[in-house]
Amino acid sequence: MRLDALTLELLRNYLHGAVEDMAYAVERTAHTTFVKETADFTCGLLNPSGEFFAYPVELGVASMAGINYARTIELAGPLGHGDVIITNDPYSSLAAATHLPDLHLVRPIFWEGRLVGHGAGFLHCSDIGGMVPASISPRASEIFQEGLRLPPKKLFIGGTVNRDLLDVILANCRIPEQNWGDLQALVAGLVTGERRIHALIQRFGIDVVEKGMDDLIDYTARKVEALIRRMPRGTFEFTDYIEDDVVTDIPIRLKVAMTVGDGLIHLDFTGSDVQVGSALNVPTGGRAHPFMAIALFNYFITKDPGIPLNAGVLRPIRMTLPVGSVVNPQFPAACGVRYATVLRIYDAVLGALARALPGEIPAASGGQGCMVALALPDLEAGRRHVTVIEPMIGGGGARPGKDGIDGCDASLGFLKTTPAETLESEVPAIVVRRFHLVADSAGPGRWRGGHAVRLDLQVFRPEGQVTARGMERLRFQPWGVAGGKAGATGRVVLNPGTPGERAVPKIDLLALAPGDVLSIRTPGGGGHGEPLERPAGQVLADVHAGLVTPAHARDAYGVVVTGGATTTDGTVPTDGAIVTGGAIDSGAAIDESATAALRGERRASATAPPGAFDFGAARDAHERRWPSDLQDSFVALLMALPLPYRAYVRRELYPRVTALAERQPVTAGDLARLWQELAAASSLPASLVDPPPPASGQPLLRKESRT
Amino acid sequence: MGRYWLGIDIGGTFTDFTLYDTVTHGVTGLKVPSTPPDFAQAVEHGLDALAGEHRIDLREIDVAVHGTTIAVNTLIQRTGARLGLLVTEGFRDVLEIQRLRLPNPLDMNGGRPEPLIPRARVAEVRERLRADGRVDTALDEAGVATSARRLADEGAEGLVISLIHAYRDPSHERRARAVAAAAAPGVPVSTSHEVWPEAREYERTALAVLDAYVQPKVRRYLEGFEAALRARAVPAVAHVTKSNGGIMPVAAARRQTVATLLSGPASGVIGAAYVAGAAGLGNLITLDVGGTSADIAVVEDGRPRSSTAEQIGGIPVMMPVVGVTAIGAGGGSVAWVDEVGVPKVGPQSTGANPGPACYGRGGKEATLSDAFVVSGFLDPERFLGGRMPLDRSLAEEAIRRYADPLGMGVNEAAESVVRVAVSNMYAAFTKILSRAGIDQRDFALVAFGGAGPLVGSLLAREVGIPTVFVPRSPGTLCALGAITADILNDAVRTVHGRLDALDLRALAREQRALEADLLAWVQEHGVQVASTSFRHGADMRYVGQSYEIEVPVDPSSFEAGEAAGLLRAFHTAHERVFGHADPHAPAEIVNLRVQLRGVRPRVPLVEVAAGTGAVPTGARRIWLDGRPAQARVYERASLGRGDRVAGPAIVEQPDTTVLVPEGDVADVDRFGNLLIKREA
Repeated sequence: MRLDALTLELLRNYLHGAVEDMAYAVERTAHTTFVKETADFTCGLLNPSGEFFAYPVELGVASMAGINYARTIELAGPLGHGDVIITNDPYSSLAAATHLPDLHLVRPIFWEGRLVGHGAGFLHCSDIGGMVPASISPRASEIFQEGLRLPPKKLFIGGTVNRDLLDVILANCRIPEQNWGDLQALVAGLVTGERRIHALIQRFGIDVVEKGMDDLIDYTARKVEALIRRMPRGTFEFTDYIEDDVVTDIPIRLKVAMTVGDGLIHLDFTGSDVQVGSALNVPTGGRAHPFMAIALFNYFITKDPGIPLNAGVLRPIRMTLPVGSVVNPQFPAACGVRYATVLRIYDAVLGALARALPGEIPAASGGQGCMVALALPDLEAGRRHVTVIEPMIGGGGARPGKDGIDGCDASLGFLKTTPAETLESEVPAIVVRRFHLVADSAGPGRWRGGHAVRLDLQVFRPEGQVTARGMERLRFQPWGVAGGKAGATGRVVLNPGTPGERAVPKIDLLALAPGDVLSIRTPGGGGHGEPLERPAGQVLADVHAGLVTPAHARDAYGVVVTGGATTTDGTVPTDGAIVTGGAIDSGAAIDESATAALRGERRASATAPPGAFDFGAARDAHERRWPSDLQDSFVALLMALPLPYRAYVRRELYPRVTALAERQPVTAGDLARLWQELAAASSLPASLVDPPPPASGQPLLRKESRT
Repeated sequence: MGRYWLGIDIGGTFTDFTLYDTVTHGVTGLKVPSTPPDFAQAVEHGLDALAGEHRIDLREIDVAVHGTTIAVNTLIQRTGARLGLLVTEGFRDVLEIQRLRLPNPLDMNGGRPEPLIPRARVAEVRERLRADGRVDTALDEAGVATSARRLADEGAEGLVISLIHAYRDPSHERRARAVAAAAAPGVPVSTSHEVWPEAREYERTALAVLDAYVQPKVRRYLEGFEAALRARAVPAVAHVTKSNGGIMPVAAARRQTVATLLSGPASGVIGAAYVAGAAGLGNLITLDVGGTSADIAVVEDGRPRSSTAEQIGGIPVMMPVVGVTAIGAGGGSVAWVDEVGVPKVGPQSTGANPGPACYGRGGKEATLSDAFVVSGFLDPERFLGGRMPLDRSLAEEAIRRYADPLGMGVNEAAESVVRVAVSNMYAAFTKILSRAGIDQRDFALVAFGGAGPLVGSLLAREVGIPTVFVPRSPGTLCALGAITADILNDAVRTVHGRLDALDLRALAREQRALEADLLAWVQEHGVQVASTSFRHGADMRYVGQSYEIEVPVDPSSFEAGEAAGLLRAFHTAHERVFGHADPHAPAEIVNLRVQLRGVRPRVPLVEVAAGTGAVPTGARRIWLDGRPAQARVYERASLGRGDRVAGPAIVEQPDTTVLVPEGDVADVDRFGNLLIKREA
């Protein structure tokens, strides 16, 4: 570092104030409710080469601090004072943007005619055109369906708006005025940044400010490196899945091998699935991308809350992101719902961390960021009016020393509910019947997971349509760790508790009849540590709270509860349903001797090795048919194919392998044979994948290597 | 009419008395140790001391106003009542789920604040209203009775009833209260619509629960307080300060305990606004720096900025309160060096015990106060008027230990602590100004608290605030705020509808009903005021937005069925607050608000005699801007009107110390306040 430590700390504080000021300016003047309510935006300061050196933390999205704008700046051509670059295109910006609704702006800052840095930021606009309102459809198969693509171009030139470009943009979105308002708000934030940098230069001198930019990134990187040095060296693998890719029911495999070296971490995603034919791909440009490492950042920040967020968080992290995989898709792959995949990558990296640091890392959370929305006919506007009902996230993973957070998880902790009273005032045709926690849904453990949330919504008017983008973990449970058990899956039911009750599959677009009650449950968080080690008193407290039924106390924890097994109106609570007058009689007590006996019995007959992960029955069954080696070979085979054939072969070959696996374990030889049969039947040369490529890449851990 | 007005500020450590003499306009200050848990004892001690040492005839006390931290301490220490809660079927977890959002989403070990009522004591009631007040499901009275009985059997000391849409139609809550009270005799029952009838079920329930939670302790204390006054034949009607910056009679506080939660910081802001206002300053940023934290508030045109989005102990308070932001920067904030070698100050604090190293109570860590001593800003012999000598050598030792990894000398190290602390405050200030959308160049910084006037000028320079105002007696601001505040009471009614579809005359009726409620409150509690006035407002937004801004309402326009003026005012306010407006978009009203102000007589401030030129009592070496300087030292009491002190200088008084840096001058106004500016 080139500045003295005191000057660096002063500068850090001043810049912290500067970027929060920028972010407030955006939040305050933005037009769409979306920006204000979900805080899906950011606004910070870049060094001349396009890396954030100062980044806001109190407002906006934390995970973008490692975004790199070098390519964006390069493509826009020579910059002058008052120019503003706009882009939303993941492919040409080299994944500065990661889906089209995020409009990114970069505005250069000059001092005495010299470029000293940039203000930069993005906001998620509510619509940028494309095949559906709000632009995001999981079913999009090409980015062309997802809206207007803007490669890095100048929206302002010398302080004057580029009217030609603006008119084209506004002609291609459904809410032009609001988008223009939001863009102006973002520009206001960038101008604030320029004013702040100029004031800092006047206060400290240009030399100090320029050195400070590098030093701050350096400072963050050093703090992260110090934390990495405290981790055990080695390579730690973990795999998780998106349950299906929307267009088929084949799970998307996300595999990571995390190698911890001397102050460096390498994340190798070799073995992760090929890019998919839906909008779940995560553009990364093939270089270390912050979206792949959010679990690491959260771990670092939790360990050391004093780490300033900036490009330095990503510097000690290398990545291998195979070309044409779901984590490095190639143009023109669709990517609108890339965050659903990012959440599961969070789980995969978290699992690798848990292997590196046994006992220290939380279990998996609900792992979905599902926005339930209702479209009803709006007679005045002559089209459907869409209301976002609630975000449905799921229980948080249990932490060492703490139960998981009910109904929510750190990776989506910025989302906020809408009060039922507000919703019903705005949309008089609906009633929120239930919005509460679900008993017995948390993954059992010494520390249990967070409970799931249940939302029951009744709609009285005809032509109601519900969407629930991002719904996940209806099949594969959130895993438990260190002996903790998996949390419950989510589930959807129509008209619960009535003769017309029926289970509904994962919601894509669901039509409701007048009077229908739609009931949605999120997943519950995984548990941490052996459930038999949870003090019986804590289990009893959950029974008193109505969060654990006596039956579940016995089955999951080996705790025998007597005397309180009924609710006040005499019914036995089943299935976590909350009955009127709902609290369970606090007369419930532990039968100490029966509990000791039962727990002893369970310990003696335990089959799982102590401290193991628990993935739940569905994933275990899947992996019995599809062991890790077979999946490695399958992905390798697909990756060896020319890109245009991969989706086809995956779709056709997968069921054949599964069918064989129902009868017998599938070997590499079987796979090769099935491939050759398919190749022959579809006139593809079988030699496309001969010889098979290696199963995994080699970690690159030399300091000078850039991936 | 009696002769004296008495203000009492009850803190965790000390109880401050400020007695104003309406004949001489003199102010007497007195400090006695607080007496937790029975805080009323300290009031008795103080009254006896006033009668004894100060020879005050207590029967001449006409007004007695006090601010109390009992409610907020009960909340922070979680020592309130054991309660049960009855909610609408399907909403048992309203206190658990809250609004879902986490206070710190980056922290893997974080979580939402623990509810004041555990889930085991929350029962559901079968009933439901629709948003328009229509009955969807009738109230299950038998269920209410069963649950109330069960909760009482389980030891609930109070029951709270909060039902969906009760702000719109309270009939289910009222009926449920009657049923519950009959089923659980002797257990107090309260309802959400009585505490604050505004839409949003979590916030309304949380507020009602908070009210019931702190109520028993606050009531017990108020009874002790009134008894102490009665026993000494003090004739005054006792009043309590409120979070909204006003006061209310004790009788009203028994019913609105939750309104006393933020009364302490609010009184300080009112007092600061009052003395600065008398000196002709209306736009203020107040900075109260104490031992562990700094409280910051914004005052515009003499009126503290009010907020309906404050949180206390993580619990939202949706009723209007004076917006005060606390940051973890005070005299006890610890200076340390991180593993990369970068100096930091706070957020850890040594608190009062052991306190900074210079207190000599065993504290080893270097603090901001130690840096003040080493830098020569504080005279170890004259701290708190000499009542608490500080140890300079211990301060130096601690600063040296801190500075070791930095390779700095002790003076540079002490200055680094001050500068880092000021830069922390700078970052916090930036955010507050930015959120408020104000230009600091139009504001003065009012610095008080023990350390506020030491850092005020340094901070003002960095932030770009042109004037620093140091009141003559910073230690009495809270109590002064209490005796100068007006009676204030707020009322709200959620109406929620498009302006072009609402029946304006019905709105006018709603407003008159709110006014009538407020006037009934005045009569019921025997409020004595010179005059009363109302302020009407409406929370408005564009259709589709999820946040509102309050717009002033002219009540006669509703009567006349006229909304164009209100609509224009809304567009203008939207433009001012958010930087844009859309005159073609439909707007809606969410809430109607009425505030009653009962105007009370003001305390005239005493003018100080004309000065004869400031004469220093001495000089000492201070360390600032990287070099030593000889600072002249002045006694605050010796400064007269028109005197001017040029920096570098230190002005000392028993309750604080003022630093006038080189290049600044401090002018004494006619009330003895200091106005510090850059030398022209």
